[in-house]
Amino acid sequence: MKLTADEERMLAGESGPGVQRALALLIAIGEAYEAEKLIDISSSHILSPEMQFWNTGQLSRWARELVAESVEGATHFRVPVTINPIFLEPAIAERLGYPESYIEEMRQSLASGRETYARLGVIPTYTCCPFYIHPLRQGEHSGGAESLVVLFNNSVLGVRVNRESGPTALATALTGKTPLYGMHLPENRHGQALIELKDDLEPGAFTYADYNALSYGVGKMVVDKIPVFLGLPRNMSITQLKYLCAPLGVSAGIPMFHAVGITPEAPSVEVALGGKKPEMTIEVGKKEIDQAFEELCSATDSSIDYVFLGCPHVTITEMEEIAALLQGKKIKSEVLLVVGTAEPLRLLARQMGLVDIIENSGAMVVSGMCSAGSFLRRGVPKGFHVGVVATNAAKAAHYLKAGGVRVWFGTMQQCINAAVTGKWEDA
Amino acid sequence: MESITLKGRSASKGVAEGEALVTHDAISFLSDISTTEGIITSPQSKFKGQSVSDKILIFPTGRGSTADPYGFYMLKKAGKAPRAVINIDANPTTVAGAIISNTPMVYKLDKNPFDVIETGDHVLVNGDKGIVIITKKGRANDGRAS
Repeated sequence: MKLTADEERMLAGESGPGVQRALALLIAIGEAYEAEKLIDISSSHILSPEMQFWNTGQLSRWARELVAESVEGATHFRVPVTINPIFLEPAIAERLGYPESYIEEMRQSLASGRETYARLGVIPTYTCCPFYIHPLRQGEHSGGAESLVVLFNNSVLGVRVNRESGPTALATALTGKTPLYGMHLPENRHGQALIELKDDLEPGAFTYADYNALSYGVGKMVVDKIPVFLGLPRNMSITQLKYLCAPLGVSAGIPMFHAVGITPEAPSVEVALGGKKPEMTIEVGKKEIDQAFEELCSATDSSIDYVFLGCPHVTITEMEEIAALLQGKKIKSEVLLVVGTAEPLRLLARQMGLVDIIENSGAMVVSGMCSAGSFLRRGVPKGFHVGVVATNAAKAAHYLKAGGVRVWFGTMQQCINAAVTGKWEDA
Repeated sequence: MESITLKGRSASKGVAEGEALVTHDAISFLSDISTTEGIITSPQSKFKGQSVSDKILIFPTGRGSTADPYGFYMLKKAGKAPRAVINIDANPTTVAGAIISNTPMVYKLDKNPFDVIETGDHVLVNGDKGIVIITKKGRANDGRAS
């Protein structure tokens, strides 16, 4: 691979061993893809193994060692860098009655991570939706991980970013570089699979859960082909679009989709397909959507213990909708209802009086925590279990089901009702 | 004893040798292998319950997600990682995992490794030169190695 003088200096170790390893890692990834060179990026989005995945026990210590090695000698990130949420908010661990020693260990791992990334100049977004806070523009080359961020950036904003891994995302942040391959090249961004909606669907009346189910189902059908959605409402909101993005990240391995009339690179179906014929055409109707709803549920017991909304993190619009549904109501005392968002949005919702309404019902509004429920699979202390979970997020339901957790997937309205009555009811 | 040399591309440096474990399944280090024990857990694998520890692990490609390299790293720290990895195509999550775990990895060999390497063969992986040297297993443990 051809390197610039600047890259040669990094590779020679002039910016310390962390940056040196980071550049070598990016070169190896680039060579696997036969990239001719590295390119300059203008931003990156990282995730933190010691905060998002393992924050107690031996695995947490190893995760911290890995990060310490990776950033050794580095003084600052080379580009603006945002960061994914943490694994579990200590306040929720307290509410779940986890042992004090366990929570203390969590706090230490979180403090260590926060200090490390702050020193390097991270924008402490702690959200899977950094586009609420640090939006990027069409054509911008970015680095980073988190499938939702990659899908949203490529498909909604027209940013050019690959689906990278945790360690390579950190490497792009430390060097300001990424290999030139995949989504950075216009010829790889065309759609390959045409998705047509059957007449028995009414996209204009889709709930968030319907968008989740559509995305989840289509992901399973396209696997690794870039889909082109036809017939979606051109006035789709950011909230609806994030729910169209997120499930594709777990049911397929793709970094991008086109929604004709919405994606900047898809003014028409012909442009979205790059003038080529689609490799496959898939018709999606009520049957396929219903099937996705069914596949996402693993619970049979209607009694609910834990409800969460905010995978991906809720927007202000959703905060208003949740507050309206909870206004004047009390949730059942045995049920934990958690609404997850990013800190600036929580502050705004508090100013708007929405957080008070939600909290008065007995629910919690937390910021900066991953609502995909990964803590329910990997981070539950011995002797504890969470019970039956309800959510309107397909991504979270998929992860929970895979982890053996009993889960109900349905609409926001169904989730709130379940929190109030303690029972899951069919729509 | 028969010895075969294949030439490929290096993804991660270092030299290691050991007994081959050949699986035709794409592997996610985070979801298909237990992080602290190195046991294959994926239900569809015919090697379910077997250990990848200290093996030369040969599989078509990775199917990892964002956090997959961390899974490889944790295996290494637990002393349960494979000694080296051979792939047909290199998935970047596997490359990143091998590099941060200081484990040699080669891919795109000049012959399909599935035609040449069987479970139980002795394999040397030279990640510095992108070379793999295979010594076929003896008849004594033919088909029943590992």
